[in-house]
Amino acid sequence: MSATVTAGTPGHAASDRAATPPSLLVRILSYRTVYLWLAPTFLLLFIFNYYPAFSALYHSLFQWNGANIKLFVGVSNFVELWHDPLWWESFWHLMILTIALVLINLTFPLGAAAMIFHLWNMRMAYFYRVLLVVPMVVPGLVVLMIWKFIYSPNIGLLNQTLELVGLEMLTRPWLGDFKLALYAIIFVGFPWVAGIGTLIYLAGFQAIPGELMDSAVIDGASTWQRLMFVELPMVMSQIKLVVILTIITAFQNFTIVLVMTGGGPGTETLVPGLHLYRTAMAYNRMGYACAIGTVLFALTLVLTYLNHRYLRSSVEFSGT
Amino acid sequence: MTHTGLSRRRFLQLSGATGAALTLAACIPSAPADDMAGPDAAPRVVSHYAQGLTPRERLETDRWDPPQALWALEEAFKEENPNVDLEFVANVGTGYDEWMVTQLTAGTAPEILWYQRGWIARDYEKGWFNNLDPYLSQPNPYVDGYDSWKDTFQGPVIASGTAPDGHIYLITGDIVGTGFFYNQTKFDEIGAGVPDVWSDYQGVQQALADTGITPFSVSYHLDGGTQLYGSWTTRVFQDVLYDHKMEVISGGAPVTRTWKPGESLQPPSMVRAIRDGNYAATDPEWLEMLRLMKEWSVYYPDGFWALPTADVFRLWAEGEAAVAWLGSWMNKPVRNDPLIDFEWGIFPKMPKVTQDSSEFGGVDFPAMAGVGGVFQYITTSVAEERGTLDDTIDWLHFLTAPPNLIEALNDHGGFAPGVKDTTGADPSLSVYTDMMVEFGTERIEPFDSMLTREFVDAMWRNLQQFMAGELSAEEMSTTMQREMELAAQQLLNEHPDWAEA
Repeated sequence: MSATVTAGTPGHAASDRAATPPSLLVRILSYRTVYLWLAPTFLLLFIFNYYPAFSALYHSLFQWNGANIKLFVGVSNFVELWHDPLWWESFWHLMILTIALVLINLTFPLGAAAMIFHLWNMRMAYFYRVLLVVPMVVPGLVVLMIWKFIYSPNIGLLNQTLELVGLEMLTRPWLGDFKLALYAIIFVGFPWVAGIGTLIYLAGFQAIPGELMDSAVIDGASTWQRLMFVELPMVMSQIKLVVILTIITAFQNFTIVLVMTGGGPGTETLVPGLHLYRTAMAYNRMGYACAIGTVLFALTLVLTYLNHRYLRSSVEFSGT
Repeated sequence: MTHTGLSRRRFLQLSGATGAALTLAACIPSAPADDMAGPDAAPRVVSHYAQGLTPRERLETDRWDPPQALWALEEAFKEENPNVDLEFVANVGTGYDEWMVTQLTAGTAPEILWYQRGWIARDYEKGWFNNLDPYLSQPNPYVDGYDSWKDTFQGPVIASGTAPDGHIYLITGDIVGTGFFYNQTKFDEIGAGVPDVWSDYQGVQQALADTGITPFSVSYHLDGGTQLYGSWTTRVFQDVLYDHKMEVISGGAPVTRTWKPGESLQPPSMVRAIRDGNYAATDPEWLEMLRLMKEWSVYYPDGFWALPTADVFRLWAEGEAAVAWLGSWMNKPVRNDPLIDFEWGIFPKMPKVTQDSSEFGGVDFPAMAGVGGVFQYITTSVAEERGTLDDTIDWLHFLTAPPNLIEALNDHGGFAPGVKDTTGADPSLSVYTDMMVEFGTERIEPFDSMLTREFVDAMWRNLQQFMAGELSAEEMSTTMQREMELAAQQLLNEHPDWAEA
């Protein structure tokens, strides 16, 4: 700050106490241009984010088919949800998916980012970074369709490859196998390095101060020791961010299940998001679907709070 | 700091003016269509989700010509109606039901939507589509010689769009069929002909399996396979196995097997039968249906419950499967697909389940065919709000004039016309209509439309599990009985008038 700041001098303190703070309206009007520019963003945010959320909360108290029936039923949709075996089954699947995705995102992208960070040749590091980013521009649905083809029981790449190498006994309808379908979905995207997680980790590694690395080298730390005791603690905020983002994404996303299996075989890959979607769009039970959405929203809100909290704590590791 | 932006006065003026303009715009009623008429008025738009008739250009990946007749018909219609523009909505494919419900709920649906006649009972009170009786009772201006538009159709065809309230909500213009398409070359190789009875057919399938070929191509994938093949199989088996019990299910009235949809057991009858215990998933006939289906499934492709539905045809076309259960809509592809290099034919009927195969056997299978295929259209209630309902009806009048309808259906190649004057119709489709007229169609409402959407979803999921060996027949029967009772009760709550015949 400038040395000419005089706030805190006795004279100014007295005048500050005497001055009446401007009203909210005056303050808004004095920054009217800023507010005007911000208004569309907040308007759209309200229409597309806040309004649907509150609307869902309201409609979760109704038996509503989206058309001609709308009866107030209090919390009975939530009571029904509590006793809905499909909800609990889908929630269990969600837990498995979430834990698996967290473990995956804690290892493979982190490993890939660490390896790129440790490359001495900057040109190669740049090349690999670009290589990881390029698949991200492919539409997600295309990737899912490719994986669906890979798993296809008769002409799929996986079964064909297994047959080619003499492992026919392992071939199976991967997405139709009642015990493996969920794990087949988890396996989609293998080796899981071409995603935003790798970039977040890489950004964390690159923000580690050079002096810290140099002093570790001078102190005789091996590569493994540097990774474990210097680099990983320094990217802890990125790790927390990726974990929270992974959990939130897992809770919200059902596209992969919808496209790959439709929740089947049977209900073996059903997740709450898909249960909500089918309840609303196939069964016309909009009120009950809103109750599912409200519960998911509450869970996501808690996780978002945790995200917010951990992001703030990351300052201590930022090294700036 | 110097403010170079808006002055306070100017800001308030702008905000006020914008707010007032928005309020005014929101309050002004939309102009009725008549007000916009005139040579300089913007054309009114009628959007049409034509499903299988949606015209499109041929792609490099297409192995046969896609339908395009609606473009020619659109041009002819435009000559007479220059103030109306037609928009054909691109096909949605998988998930159409969800898309349709979303569009109808949001009030953003096209004026004309493809719709299954079986769905009418559960939706007709939602105000999503129009009662077409007033229009059907008037003449079609594009057809001479008939008193009313309704009279231009074959009676059972147009009547198939009738809701439980007695009104017609659906314009049905075609007839669809399915059949067992068999690879005659493979059958010749094992010295087999088309079997007449089920036990012989099992023998033929075993002989085919022994040569290393898949005897029967079918899919129970939840992306549409179970919804198709599960539905077809259960509806024809039920008709045979419950033959002796039809009168009990109907509540005393005889149920004759005809090809006329209105004469089968409709959802209200089924709801009453379930309530009264006259039809149940725990019936021995129901369990027998499961047993026969399970026995048959040993001749299905490996992992058939995970086989993508599109592969059913591919397996057969490439000679990897001997028989495929296909629909008349594949009539044109089968005749034009370069992949098919063998002699093929269609079973004239499904081999009969005699009492050698089942204690409930003894009658012929019904034809897996019926009224309403690609040409089943509702006019959505939003057309009235948009002021385009009259134009919508006019386009449907034009489209159902026999020469136009036949032009569209012949171009598609997979559906027989449902109008009285069938001059010029594709003769290759007669195999399906003959089967339908000779053997009639199923008498028990198919699971797709028998009860609620939740019920049918549970049915197909459980059936898939059962067929894949993850669920025993008893477990499935118990689960579905519970679902059936719940769904019937829900429908009785929604439609109290269904409680009595």
